[in-house]
Amino acid sequence: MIQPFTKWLFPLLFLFAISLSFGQQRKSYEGPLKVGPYKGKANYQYTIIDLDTVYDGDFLLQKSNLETLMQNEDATFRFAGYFDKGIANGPWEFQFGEFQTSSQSRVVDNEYRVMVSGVQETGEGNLVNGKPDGEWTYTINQIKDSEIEKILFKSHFTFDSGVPQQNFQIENDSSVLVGRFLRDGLAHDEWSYYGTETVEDIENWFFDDGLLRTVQVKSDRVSKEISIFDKNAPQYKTIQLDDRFLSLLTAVMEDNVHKSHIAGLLAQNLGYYQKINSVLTHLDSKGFANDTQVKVPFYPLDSTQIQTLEQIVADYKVAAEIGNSILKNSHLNIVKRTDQEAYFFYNVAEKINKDFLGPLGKLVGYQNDDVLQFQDISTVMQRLWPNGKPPKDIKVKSNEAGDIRTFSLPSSEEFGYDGNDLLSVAAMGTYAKMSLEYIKGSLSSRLTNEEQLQILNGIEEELIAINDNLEQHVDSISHLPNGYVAALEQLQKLADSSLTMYADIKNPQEKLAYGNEAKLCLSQLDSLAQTIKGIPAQKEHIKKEYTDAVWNPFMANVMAEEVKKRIVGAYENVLIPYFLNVATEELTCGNVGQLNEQIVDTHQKLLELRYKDTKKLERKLRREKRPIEVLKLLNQHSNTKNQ
Amino acid sequence: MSMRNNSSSLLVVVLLTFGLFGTLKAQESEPEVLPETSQYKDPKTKVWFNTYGNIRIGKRFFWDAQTHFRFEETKNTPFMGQIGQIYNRHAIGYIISKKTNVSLGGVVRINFNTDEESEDRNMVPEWRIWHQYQFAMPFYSAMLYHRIRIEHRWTQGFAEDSEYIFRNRWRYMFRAKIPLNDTKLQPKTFYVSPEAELIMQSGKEVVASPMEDLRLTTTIGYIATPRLTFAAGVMYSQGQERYNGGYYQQNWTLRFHVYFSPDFRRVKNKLPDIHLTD
Repeated sequence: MIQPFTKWLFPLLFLFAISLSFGQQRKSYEGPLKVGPYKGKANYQYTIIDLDTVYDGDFLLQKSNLETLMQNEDATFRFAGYFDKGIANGPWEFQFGEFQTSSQSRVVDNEYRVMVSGVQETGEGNLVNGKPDGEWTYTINQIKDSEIEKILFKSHFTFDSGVPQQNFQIENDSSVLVGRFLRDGLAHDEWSYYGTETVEDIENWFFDDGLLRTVQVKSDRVSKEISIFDKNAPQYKTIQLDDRFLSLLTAVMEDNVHKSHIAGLLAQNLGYYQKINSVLTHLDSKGFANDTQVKVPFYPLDSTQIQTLEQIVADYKVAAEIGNSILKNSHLNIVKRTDQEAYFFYNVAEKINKDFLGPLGKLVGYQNDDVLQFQDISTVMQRLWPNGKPPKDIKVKSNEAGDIRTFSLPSSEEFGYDGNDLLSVAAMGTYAKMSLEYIKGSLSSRLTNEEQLQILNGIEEELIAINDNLEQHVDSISHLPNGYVAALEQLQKLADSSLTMYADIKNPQEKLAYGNEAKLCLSQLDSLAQTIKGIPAQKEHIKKEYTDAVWNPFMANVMAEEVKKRIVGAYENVLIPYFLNVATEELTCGNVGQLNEQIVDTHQKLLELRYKDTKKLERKLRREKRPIEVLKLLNQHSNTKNQ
Repeated sequence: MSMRNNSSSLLVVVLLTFGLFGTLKAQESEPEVLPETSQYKDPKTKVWFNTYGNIRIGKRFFWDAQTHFRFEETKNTPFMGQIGQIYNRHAIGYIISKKTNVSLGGVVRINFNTDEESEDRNMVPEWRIWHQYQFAMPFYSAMLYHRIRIEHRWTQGFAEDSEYIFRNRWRYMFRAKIPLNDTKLQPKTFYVSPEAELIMQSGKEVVASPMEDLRLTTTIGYIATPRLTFAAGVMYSQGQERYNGGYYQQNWTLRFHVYFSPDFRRVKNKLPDIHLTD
């Protein structure tokens, strides 16, 4: 009986001791953890190596908040996997979700269940030494009432230590991209993109040993082949198929209006891999990437070229800033209406911005994206300036009539930028920058000091906006009687004259002060215009208010009876003509507000007087025809108590 | 003309002679003999000045106040004549709906003796109790009205010892008011109003003359305001003499009317003026 037991006891004790010794090294943690932007509840194992905490073993970080879900929507995440001495290893799952709930819950198996709708992203696969290995999928599901409604995106790759193998597939809800790789991860052969509903390909990329030779696009059954890279380049370089490659492709395909669907899907997928990579990087495990390789032509830039490019970028930056400050200056926008010099320079700046800075901006973009080294400079030139570079003599309209005037820098003789190299582009950039600086100098008297300018700018923007409003009000008056038209036209005249007055003032201090007054005046004029336009409707309103429906016993019908005719009469025959007359004959910025108030008040008073005892007032109104006195009488009586 | 006059006067004599016995049995006073054919008297001319007041005293009640001055020709003053009756009719009305109202009230009429040669009293009062029911109907742009008026009437003659006699009057009037210069009856509108009223009477004293009066009138009116209307028109009327149903009196009457309907209620009481059923 004892014999077999002792036979097994030793090995068992031995195994127990081993597991104990490992167990002592690995510790567990359960509690809050912040990984980059992700803050949640963690549950992981770790060891301490050289006093550093190193993830080792199971790892779980997740967040979901029922409270925020019930309130509005909840952004959730869940990262689960395994670390081997700090390096992510083994199966991993990354989830990102955004959910709303309809707030309907039910109890199932003693659990509260809440239906959610939203989007759930899941990336899952195996990692070896931090690199994807084996099958990886990234799926985005649209969830409705806790069930998958639609697959918005799904990519499927197979990796060997980060290098993609064999085939891949990326699909969204309406189309699929399939392609293949060589064993070393180079893109190869045909990558096809087709709609799931149609059999026909929409876009094909043809790789030859990693080199993208042609892109074939089909739209409306018309197939078009675009040559991308040829085999005549002196050198080729293998780079990652990443955002930089896609930028390069955009640059090369620039002439085509067509936007590549394949590039779009690839960029989308790259983004998701980057999302996972950023989580792992924050967990100190590097190397998660989709290491697809492509070959591209390579034109290494020499140090002179790099220097020249740096100068172009610097000049462009200065020029673009000046150009912007001129073109977006609202003060200048006002001044150029009356000032021909300003008008001319403004137009020159506009033309430089378009003809010089536009293409230069693209070149600077290539440089910033670091894709210039993969393109032939002369081809780039041809693409950016297909009709040659813009001339130094810049011809623009010098006035509204359309007379042409030419601008050139006084030192334009010194600039020559006809060549087809970077140096000539740099010269052109410098010319553009100096021209804009010159223009800025010429306009400086009009662009006084920055701070005042900005205040004035603000006021001027408002002045123009209010005046536009007023013009709109005054424009649509053809249906009104003559008296009204004359009054409204007078309002516009007053507005115009105060704007002219403003434009004439040179001293910034005075200009600012007057500008503020003019702003008040214009907005009051705007209100008054609205009020005056409203008088006919108000008149109708008053008339209706002062009409009783009276049952006539002799006719046995209901008749409209005008009541308090003296009051309505005074309003229609004395006050309204008076208001219009003041607006037409006596209007100044000083009394606009008062007049507006009077009109609005009077209307209000008439409404108030309707149900008051007004016998005394009516008696007095019989004799009184002077508008001011009538206004006084209305004022006195509208304050009496209601009967 | 003269031939016909002679023959008719002959007829009267014959009828009177025949009728003497018959009426003697029925009546102790002078017997009455019906003429063989109806006898139309020469038309008289009259002029009436009528005021109609309709004074609102509540949401549904009004005071109906009418005063008429009626002149009729006499031997000495033709056409316009002298004052015949002053007529005061009052009632309290109740508005059932915009189109229906009823009234109940009394009348005091002062009858003047227009017979200049009469030795009797110059003036006697007449008393009535009356009630009426009015219905209005819109008809295109016009309005149609039906009026049923029932009067209980006490009258007496001008003779010194004359006693009151009691009669009932049954009146139905049909009237239209057609706007002339507008699409409906409203202020500043002229209208024409044809009207026909049949007045029947009954009572112990009414033996053979139930049709007291048939009045055919046309007036032209002007609605000055919802509360004031003027109208003027001509009325032809005919009816049986009470003493002898064979004789018909005829009248041509010029009528002048003022209709007024003031409302002295305070403003706040007046507000739901037409919303009677709210």
